Amino acid sequence: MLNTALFKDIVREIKNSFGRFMSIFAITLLGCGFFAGIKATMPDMKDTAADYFEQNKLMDLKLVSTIGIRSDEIAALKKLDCVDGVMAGYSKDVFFENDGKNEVLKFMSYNGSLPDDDKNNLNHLVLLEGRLPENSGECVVDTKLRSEAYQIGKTIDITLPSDSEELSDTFRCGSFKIVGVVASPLYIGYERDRTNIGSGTVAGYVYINEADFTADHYSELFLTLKNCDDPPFSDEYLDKVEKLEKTVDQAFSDSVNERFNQLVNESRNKIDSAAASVQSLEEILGYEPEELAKVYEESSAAYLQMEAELAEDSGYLAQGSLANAKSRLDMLGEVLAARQSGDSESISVFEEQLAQSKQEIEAAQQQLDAMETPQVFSYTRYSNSDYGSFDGDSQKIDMISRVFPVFFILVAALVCLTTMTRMIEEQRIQIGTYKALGYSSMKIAAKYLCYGVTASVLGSLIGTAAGLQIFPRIIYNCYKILYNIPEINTPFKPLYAAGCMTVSVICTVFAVVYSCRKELVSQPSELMRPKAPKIGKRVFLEKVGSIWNRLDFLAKVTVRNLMRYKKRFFMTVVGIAGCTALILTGFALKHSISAILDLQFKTVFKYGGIAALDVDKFTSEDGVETVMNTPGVTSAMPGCQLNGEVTIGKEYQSVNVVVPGSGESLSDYVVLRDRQSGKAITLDNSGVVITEKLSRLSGLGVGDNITVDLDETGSFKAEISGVTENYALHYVYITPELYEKLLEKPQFNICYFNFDSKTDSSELSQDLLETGKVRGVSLLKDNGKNFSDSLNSLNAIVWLLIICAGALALVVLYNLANINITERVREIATIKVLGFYDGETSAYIYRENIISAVIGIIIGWAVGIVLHRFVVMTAEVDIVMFDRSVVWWSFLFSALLTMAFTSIINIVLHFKLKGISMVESLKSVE
Amino acid sequence: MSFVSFKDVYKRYHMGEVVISASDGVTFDIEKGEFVVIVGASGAGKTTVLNMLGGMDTCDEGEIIVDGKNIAGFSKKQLVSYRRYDIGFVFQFYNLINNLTAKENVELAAQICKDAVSPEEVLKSVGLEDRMDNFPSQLSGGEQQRVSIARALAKRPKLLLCDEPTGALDYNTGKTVLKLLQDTCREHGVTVVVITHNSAIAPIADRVITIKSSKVSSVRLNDHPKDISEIEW
Repeated sequence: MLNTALFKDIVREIKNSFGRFMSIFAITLLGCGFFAGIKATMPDMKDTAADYFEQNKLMDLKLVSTIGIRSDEIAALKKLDCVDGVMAGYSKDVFFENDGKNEVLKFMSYNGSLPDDDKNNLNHLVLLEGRLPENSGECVVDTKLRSEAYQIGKTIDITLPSDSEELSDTFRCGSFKIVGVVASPLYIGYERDRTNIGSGTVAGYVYINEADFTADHYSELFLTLKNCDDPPFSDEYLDKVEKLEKTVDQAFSDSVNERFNQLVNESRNKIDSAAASVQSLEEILGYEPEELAKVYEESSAAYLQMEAELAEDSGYLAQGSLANAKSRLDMLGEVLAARQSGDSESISVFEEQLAQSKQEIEAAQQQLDAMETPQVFSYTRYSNSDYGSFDGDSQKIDMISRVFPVFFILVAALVCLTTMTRMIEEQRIQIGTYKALGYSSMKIAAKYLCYGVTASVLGSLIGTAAGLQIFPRIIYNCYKILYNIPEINTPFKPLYAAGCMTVSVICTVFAVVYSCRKELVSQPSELMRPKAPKIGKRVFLEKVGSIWNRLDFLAKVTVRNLMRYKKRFFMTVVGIAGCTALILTGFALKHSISAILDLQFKTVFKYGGIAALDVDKFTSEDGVETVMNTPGVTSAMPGCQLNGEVTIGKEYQSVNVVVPGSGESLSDYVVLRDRQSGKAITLDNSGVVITEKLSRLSGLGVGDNITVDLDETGSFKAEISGVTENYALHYVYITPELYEKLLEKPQFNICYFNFDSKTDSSELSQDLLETGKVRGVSLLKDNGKNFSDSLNSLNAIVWLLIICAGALALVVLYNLANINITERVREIATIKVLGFYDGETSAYIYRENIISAVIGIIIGWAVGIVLHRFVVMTAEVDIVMFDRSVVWWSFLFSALLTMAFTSIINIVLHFKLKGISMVESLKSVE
Repeated sequence: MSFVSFKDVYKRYHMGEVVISASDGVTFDIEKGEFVVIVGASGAGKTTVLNMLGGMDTCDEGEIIVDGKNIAGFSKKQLVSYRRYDIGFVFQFYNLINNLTAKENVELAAQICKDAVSPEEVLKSVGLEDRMDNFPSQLSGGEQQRVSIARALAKRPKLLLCDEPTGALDYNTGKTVLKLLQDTCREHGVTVVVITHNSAIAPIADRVITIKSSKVSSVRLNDHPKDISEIEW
């Protein structure tokens, strides 16, 4: 085979028509690369996460109880068949004063003594900088904590929020030196736990040596489950964990309850025995002196007898009763001595003691009675919402991968088809010669098949290999702002390569067979004659005299040419339409994403800032007045913001319940209005106002009842009286009167305020904090900034789209334009001979390109609108609502960019046209 | 001074290390209004001469004077203008634009000239007034060649260059086309240069230039050129 003339012909063919070979190669490369790359992103992201979890032994379940955790529970859980590893740990939320503000840090214990492969060593820390804590008083901090105070070498001095607790009850010391920065697999994103102290959210976690905790019980219990090694984001995993969670919960709760009952019994016994001794003291004090002496003698005799009797019995009960008897005897002796000596002072000391003990017993009894039965809680990985959103984000990319790459493959197939068709047309005579020489149709077709298949196999292989590396990385890096899983793994996926190769080979083979079929059945003699040129035809437009007659001559030619090569015209239009549609989608998406920042933080939220009031020490009225009197503040309104959840089907959405000081003045701070009509919504006692996305997700509208579970105060059910425009997070607005009616009197813990534009905002925050009545200040403009960071990740994906669309457009347009020229080289040479200047010659061809481009752009706009809508719908996170409209400048930019690409191609064409030699082209008919 | 004059014109092609001379010191003159036939065997170098004369190709050495100007020294752009205003071409395979009707093919040439003949008129003059709205594919070979001639004439060229105009036509049609070319020369005073390998055509010319091995082997003047009907081949 390698030596045959046919093979040599193939190799030379590739060499000689390298441009054509490259165009098939490039388009398959682009198509396959984009397809495989985007398609692989979701699995790559999930696999990377799965590996990360596996490697660092991320827990499957976390258990906590209101009475802590002791070794009883650990032992009980270890006995369960379904439990694999168990690790108990300490944790405590504490305050750390950073830059004048109290931040809440979650301190957790780190046990460095367990070997890495111990099955009970869970949630391994990933060391990012420095080293892990080795000595007492050292700590490592969360990678999320980036500010100056958390650099390695600094010291964290902690305080506890409430005065009733002593730091030494929990910690060995109160300051910890930072020795490293870590990431914990417990937190794959930047969302941290909620807490009941301070601002309500944990700023970050800090790990210290387990030995630095002095608490007498563990706070958290982490478990891994057996047979739960399904991929961590799969339904199977969720189902299994959910099922086993019940068993584990039961065992845990049984053990906790047992310990609790034991504890209660012990306390009860203690109280009982204390009560008994109090009673005997009371009795003793009640005796007359003579009587007392008699009782003492009797008791002493009884004690001696008892001692003799029980000398052999070392049992617990026996010794206990002996000790009791002894203490009673001692007491009797002391009182008797005091009485006999007439020491009334010591008697009164006894009486005081008696009274005090009685009180103490009573208090203990009360405490015991008030003790609540313990509660247990279990959490899965999904309790941290970042797990869900990581899953969701990867799904969204998968959604995008369903549309865009298919489009790429389609265009690639079309380009292959035209290119191969053209090639075979050009080589009619050669085919005829082979036929005349006696080569079979199969062998002749084999030449073109080899040519096409070589190009597409190389293209798809290199494309897939590169795409699998490039696209997941780029996309993942965009998401790195949101997640802190280490570098993504992008293994080569043979199946993807095989799939892409198969599809592209099938496409090329089809293209070759389709374009060869006529040539292969023709007689050689027929093939050796030049193919009759495509005949000219009148086009439909010519029948419309009013338009046709007004066109200038060249315009007529152009229209007719476009209609003459319908296939190519169609493909150019498809290519350009696709390019425009992708670019339009890209720009519109970028706007949809970034516009919500402006809308949310300028149109919806009008307040200048929110001050968190210290309501433990001061009344909210006092706090609001303080804010109001701060220089620069123009208006202030108390409010109450609570965290809650709304259950929708199986999932839940976190909502912020806002109780403004008054429903009427809310509009100075937050605008409630209908998005479409812009009509203002008034918040009154008839019901709650919810935000649009929440309404859409829950399917609840005006007039429906919504149930909100608040984290602390319970749940309420209220009628929805309005749905308001909102773009980020979910809010439920409720008047204080209605809230009081449904639950309780709201405690206004925050204060909305506005300030005049001349005031320096950072000075204002400082002023507010210095009053001591404000715990924290969040300014609207800072909030906006934080939010924009997380949206920027999507922006980068948008640019990726635009660039890819551009590359696609360039390849397609160049290819088609090139075919256009080679097909019409005689025609072009002829008009050159007629004396057309270079510019005129190019214009002759350009007109067609430009008209195709214009038509393509218009179609592209229409397709883009649909595509944009689809992408917006799928790319939207639950807590965010994008602007759904297609912004006007995305039409403009998509058209301009497409035109720019067309112009680039036209410039290249111009030089190609200039290079056409009249003499060569007109020499003979091929 | 002659209307056209070739003086020691050389044209060489480099094929790797081999240098092939397509014109090897070609020298001849043509007077205004003459009907000239250039004959020679295939590969003798006739077409190269015609291409250089028509401004489609450049020479490596020598002078090509047309109407007092040395086109051998023309820039590319000047050559285009020269083709545009001074030259009419007729090809063996007509080279009509298939997507344009007969009239439109003529218009294509007419619209780039300053003083063009109206397409209707020129098509009428070649006897195609009834086929003006037909596409090339709907016309016979002879008709197509007549459209091609009409297209060339519409520009009112100073020189009409024809490369084997009858090569693809049958005997009778070929004769009609030659007649048309001769009439054009006689009636409109256009200088016509016809290339052919068919020496039988030579007698109808005013001047016959024979080319052999890239050189002019003879230039012969016919004092009494024959009429087309008188010759046969």
